Amino acid sequence: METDLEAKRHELEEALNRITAEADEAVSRESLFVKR
Amino acid sequence: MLNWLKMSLLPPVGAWLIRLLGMAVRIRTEGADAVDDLYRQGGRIIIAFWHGRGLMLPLAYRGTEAHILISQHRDGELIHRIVSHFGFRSVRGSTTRGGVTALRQLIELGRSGVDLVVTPDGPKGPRQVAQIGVIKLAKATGLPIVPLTFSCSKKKSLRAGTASWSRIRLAEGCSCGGSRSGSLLTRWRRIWKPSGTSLRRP
Repeated sequence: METDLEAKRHELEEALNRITAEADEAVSRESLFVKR
Repeated sequence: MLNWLKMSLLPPVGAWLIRLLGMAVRIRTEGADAVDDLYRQGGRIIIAFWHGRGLMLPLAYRGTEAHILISQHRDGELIHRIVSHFGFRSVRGSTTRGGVTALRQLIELGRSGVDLVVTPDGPKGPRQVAQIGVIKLAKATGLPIVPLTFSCSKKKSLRAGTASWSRIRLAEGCSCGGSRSGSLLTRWRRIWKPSGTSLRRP
């Protein structure tokens, strides 16, 4: 049971790190200034 | 007196700064379709984001009622007062103080049909290392966890009070002539739900 919870905890951690890295990467390709 | 001024003045100022940033930056949202679908079906979620990535939550939230887990520390009180300007409610507690009571409250709220918001690595870190509490919360309520993050193209990181291990990210809007701005990317992940019968509502 604890192993199951730990696996889910790890999965969440990975998901958060992945979307955060993807979001940072996506905006890093953008110009610092954009026309509204 | 100083503390009273801080607690009285900073929350409305902070809330307005967030609103101003929201107006100054171009906000792009990704991955929210699944969340919107779930809301349309009457579902509720647990929103999870890393400490330091949640400042723009008021601009990203898509539901109708959310309760945020906020520490009982003085900085937590400040955050509680700021987010209350946006209609968010708070449950006070953390792994270091009031955690058990807060978890019980969150479970009751989650089962009653509202959204829950947690920072899995807060309030003392380590940074970007999830604690087990959010998984236990998902198991007890049966709610899906939806990871959320935001990132900005022109950013400043501020050290945040006692939570010095974290860095609060600010989208730094530029008001030059009112024609330029930074941009803010809000990214939701597709619905993430603990799978397997052991993590569903008992």
